[in-house]
Amino acid sequence: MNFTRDEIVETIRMVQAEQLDIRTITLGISLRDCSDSSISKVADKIYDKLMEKGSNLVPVARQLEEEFGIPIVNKRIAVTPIAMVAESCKERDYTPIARAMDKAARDLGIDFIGGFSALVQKGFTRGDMNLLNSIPEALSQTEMVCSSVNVATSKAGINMDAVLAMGRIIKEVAQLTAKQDGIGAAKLVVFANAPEDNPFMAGAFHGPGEPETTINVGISGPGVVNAVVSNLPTDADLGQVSEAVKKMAFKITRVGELIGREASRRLGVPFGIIDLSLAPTPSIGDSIANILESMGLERCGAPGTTAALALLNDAVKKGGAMATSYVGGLSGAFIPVSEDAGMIRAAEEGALTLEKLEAMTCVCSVGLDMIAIPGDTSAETIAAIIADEMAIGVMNKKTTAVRIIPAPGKKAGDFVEFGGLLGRAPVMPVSSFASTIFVQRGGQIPPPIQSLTN
Amino acid sequence: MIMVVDIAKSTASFEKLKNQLSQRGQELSVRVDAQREEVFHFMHRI
Repeated sequence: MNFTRDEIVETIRMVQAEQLDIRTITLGISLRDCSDSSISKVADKIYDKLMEKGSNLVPVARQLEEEFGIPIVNKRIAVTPIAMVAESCKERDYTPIARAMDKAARDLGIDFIGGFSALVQKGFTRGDMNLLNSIPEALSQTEMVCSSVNVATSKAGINMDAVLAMGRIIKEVAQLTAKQDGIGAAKLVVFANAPEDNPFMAGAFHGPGEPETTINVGISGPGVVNAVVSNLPTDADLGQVSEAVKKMAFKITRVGELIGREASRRLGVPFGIIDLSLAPTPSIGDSIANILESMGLERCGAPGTTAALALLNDAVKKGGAMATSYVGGLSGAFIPVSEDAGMIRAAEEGALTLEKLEAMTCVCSVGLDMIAIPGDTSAETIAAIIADEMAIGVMNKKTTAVRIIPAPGKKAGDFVEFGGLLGRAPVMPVSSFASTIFVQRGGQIPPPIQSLTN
Repeated sequence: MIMVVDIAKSTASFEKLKNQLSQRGQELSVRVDAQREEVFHFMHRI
């Protein structure tokens, strides 16, 4: 061994003082062999398979935390989109499957299970329709199940019928979980260009092109990056800021690579990807907004925020890509408002608006994430917000998403409380001008000319 | 203080050793951490 004292101290400080952790180890499990014509049989098969394949996930993750001294915040499972698995069922309500997934998650001791999902970018099958209609009940009757619907891709364009349907479903989910400020909607995400190997929730699912099982790792570490930016002299130029972030991203990602390889070996499951995403938590000091502020913005959301975020996102990718063999998932800085103490403060003070957040999503992943809006926002307006975000993703060949919570009974300026990693958020105002006729036109917005790449 | 230790012949598992060191540290009012070498290797060497 040949390390300098400074290198050793740096690693220890990153873990103990700057909250370096692995955000998630996500075990992807294919459920393609669980179909049947009876929904109760499908639910049983799914429960049994999850219990069989997932039994070692939590024990191994705990072992790794203990041995390597790096906290692994969440242990999660992602499964094949349930719309595909349940397609052959004669029943139309897929809620029993969500309950079986939730029970397995509880019995395995994991934090979330994702994949109550459908891919409908170009239209619906019978299974897709049934899944979408089951989302409100499924999310209100379960705790750990997450749902995602891909409504657009750069190759297919935007399924506007699905966009409008999701506007209505999000409202319904929020209303069914009104007692908890509409928390159900915090477990539902609408995607453009959804990645099939994303380890992060609520959007994780095990894509149809994935192997039987796989381990995907989501790194974290905004606190560590913030420390390195804060410690730069105030006259350091932005090239130097980028360089410092890049070097730190390399180190963070290497830890993810180590944990991922080791988890894969111990679980006997192939290693999939590292998701190079800086994921914040609501704890003080673990914030993406604070990094942007350390670069020299008075508050996140001030003019210059999009440029600062672009610099950050790019430097994380450049540093991270060198540190791992397989990059995948979302791989970009996250800006979930309720999960980031700096974003919460900026939104509360009026520095950060919905429109600025939309602009920021052009240069990072994921999209409009964990944003509370007034409960009386119409389904059509929510659909129009989704459509805007999908357009950004489709036209720029990137993933974008919307996870928005129309908080029942709340108005702009109120607060919603979700607790845990989902955090708390100020209710943000939404434009009062209507988009109803536009979204009710429905149909398919065609893919852009730049999708013709063959 | 930083010490590099070969625990190949240790009769206790790494987990147990780490806990024992931490406990002894508390008795002495100091913090004692044990960290596997791979973490430093992965982070600081290509």
